[in-house]
Amino acid sequence: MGAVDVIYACGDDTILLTYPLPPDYISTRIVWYSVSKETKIQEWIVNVGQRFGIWGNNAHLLYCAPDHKRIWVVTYADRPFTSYAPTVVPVLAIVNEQGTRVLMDPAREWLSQWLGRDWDLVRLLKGGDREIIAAITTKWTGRWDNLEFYLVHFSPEKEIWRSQLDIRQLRAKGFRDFNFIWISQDGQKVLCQEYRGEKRLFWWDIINHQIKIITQNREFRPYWHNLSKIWLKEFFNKNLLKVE
Amino acid sequence: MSKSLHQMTSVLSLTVILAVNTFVSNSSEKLTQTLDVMKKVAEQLGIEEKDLILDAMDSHEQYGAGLGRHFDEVFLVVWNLNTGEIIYTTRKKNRYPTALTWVGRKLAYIAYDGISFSYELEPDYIHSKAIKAKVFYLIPKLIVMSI
Repeated sequence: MGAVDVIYACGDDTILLTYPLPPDYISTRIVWYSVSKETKIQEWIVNVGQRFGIWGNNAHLLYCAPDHKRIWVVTYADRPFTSYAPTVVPVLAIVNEQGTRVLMDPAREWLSQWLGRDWDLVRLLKGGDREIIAAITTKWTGRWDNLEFYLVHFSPEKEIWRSQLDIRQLRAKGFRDFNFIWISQDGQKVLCQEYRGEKRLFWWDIINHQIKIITQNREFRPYWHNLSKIWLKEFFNKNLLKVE
Repeated sequence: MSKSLHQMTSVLSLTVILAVNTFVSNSSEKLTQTLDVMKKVAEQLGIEEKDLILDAMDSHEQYGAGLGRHFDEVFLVVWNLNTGEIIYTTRKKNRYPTALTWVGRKLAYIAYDGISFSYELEPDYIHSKAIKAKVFYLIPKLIVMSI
């Protein structure tokens, strides 16, 4: 076995391994392997635009369909020149044996990040053969001080639902400076935290327009999470918080 | 404990003042204990708590697995999340782990065998020495196979 550096569980018996291939290590061999049968199930060679890995702009593997017909990834795509510089943005993509299909137009919209990490704001809502993945996206409106944010649900084929995160609504209620942290399991609520002032941690139900405050005057950062759960750790002490 | 109670009281007071629903995690006490357990694990390894990272826990939240670091050595550690008992570690085994995942009740991890220290894993070193990564499986307390 060569230089494998990503391993991912795909169900209870299958692991998925990725091998970056020379010369540029962007093309990747993906191998599904049955743990109990000790056999390789299938193998693809795909190009998602970046190598898979754990560093900076590496592509991240998000979810593997149990029928082994597709995987969901976060990869990076070029976006047009802005007043700052040409840059790459994280986008959601589906990979199958034929290739990679990006589910958003990087010139207009990309995955929102928190603390520079793109996978915190992407969540698996439904698994199985009919998966749905939710993501918080940032939409370019032509000005950096006027970005729009959306909560979007994707099926393997396309975007199936979206709702704008109208932050003016929250500001009107006194929540001024906050970050998006996480998405609820029903895909309708966004966990937010103020980074100034009262530092309230709260769920924002964007359908029913309700706010549920969890804590205040405490600061949290992600401690551990996967696609289905998150633990937050409080700065400066040992308290962990499981928000669902 | 009194501090926690004080914090909880503050939160409950806030609930009344703002007339919004407040969520208090039932699991927070257990999770705080988990962090205490991690400190215990780090102490057993003779490393600082910050140098032990929880990368994945099994679906029953019984075992944690992650990478520990001491100077240049990087090693896998698997521990009981409730007691802090170290179930398995690659420390001093001359094996450099890079990635891991739980699959069912097994832990699968990738490692370069015959390598102890991260500085040896420069690309040139790998190419010149033709180092091979392997996948190892571990059921807590027992390594069952490797491919």
